[in-house]
Amino acid sequence: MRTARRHAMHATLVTAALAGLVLCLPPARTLAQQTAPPPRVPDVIFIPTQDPVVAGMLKFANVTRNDVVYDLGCGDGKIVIAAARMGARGVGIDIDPERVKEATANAKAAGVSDRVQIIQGDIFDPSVKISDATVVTLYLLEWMNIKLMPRLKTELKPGTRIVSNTFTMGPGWPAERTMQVGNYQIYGWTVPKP
Amino acid sequence: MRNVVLSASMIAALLVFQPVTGAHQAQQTLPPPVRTPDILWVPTGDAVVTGMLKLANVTKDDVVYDLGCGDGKIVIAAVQQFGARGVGIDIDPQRIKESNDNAKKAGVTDRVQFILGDIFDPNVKISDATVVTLYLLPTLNEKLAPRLRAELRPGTRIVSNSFEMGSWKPDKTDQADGRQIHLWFVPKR
Repeated sequence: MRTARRHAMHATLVTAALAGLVLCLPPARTLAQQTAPPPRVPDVIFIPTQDPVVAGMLKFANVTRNDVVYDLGCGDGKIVIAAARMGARGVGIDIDPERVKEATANAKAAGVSDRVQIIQGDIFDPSVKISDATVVTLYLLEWMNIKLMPRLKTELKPGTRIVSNTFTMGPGWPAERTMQVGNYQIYGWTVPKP
Repeated sequence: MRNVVLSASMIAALLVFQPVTGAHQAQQTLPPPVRTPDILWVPTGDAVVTGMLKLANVTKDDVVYDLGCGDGKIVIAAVQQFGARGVGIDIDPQRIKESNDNAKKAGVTDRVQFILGDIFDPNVKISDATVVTLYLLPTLNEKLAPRLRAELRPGTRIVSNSFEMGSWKPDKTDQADGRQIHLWFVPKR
């Protein structure tokens, strides 16, 4: 599944590079702008620079300090770390031990280890529990969202918010809300009563 | 790969039609961004906007400053629903343009002002405010707190959607459309 995500990202990068070539801009610069804006040097100590898109997703999901945010396929942990910085608790799950190690180290570096837990596991494995979540974030692929849907609908508490970056859950569960955050389309669902 | 092909053709189309599109020329006239924004704009829902203005007890005598005003909806609502005056500040020229367009559409241009600026820049004055509205992030509220306490007049009300302000605890917390909204009064110095 990580490979699938990387393919998607690769396509974006290729598009960006091509756009750079067509517009005759230096491609390297275009690439850098497409991936993430350079973090600004903080002008006050102890105030971390937030990744704007991640913060936007979490705002879209109405994350507050009462929430437990699960990121399914958490990569370097940036979403759960951002959630912890917003006062919530975060649980990141990733299948790749290297990512788990990285995310754990990043949480420690961000000083939020006490509110973040990173778990190595397969998000499709029913023994990897997700039912504590009040918010679930996804940046997978549409087919993976669809495959995950039965778990989300049956295991999450009614009222839990689900937010997906870029990918829908297919026609079987249309998003209740959608919003453009920067260059990304974000979709939102609420787990219904059974 | 389909994405790539589509993008290439779209860019080609843009290149062909560029010289005759007014929209593109209008975009070019926008001033440059002040700096990279800390956050991307996520609009506040209508019910939350009204709830925030009610929590601050906004009246026609108020001047409502929205710091990071996005499309200007809070400032415009303050005028339309409560008869106040409003000032919106945003770092993104595109948002300021949108805000001005929306104020024009709403017919409230005489009672609102939108300023392109960085809310952390001390040259961007906020001391006229009697009410300040925020939908930033906890860290940004915290960073802004010293400015608010030093520059706003005592008694000025501050309302934040969702987020608190670190060690400066809100005087009141309410709910609007499932969101927590917090109220502070600027203390005497």
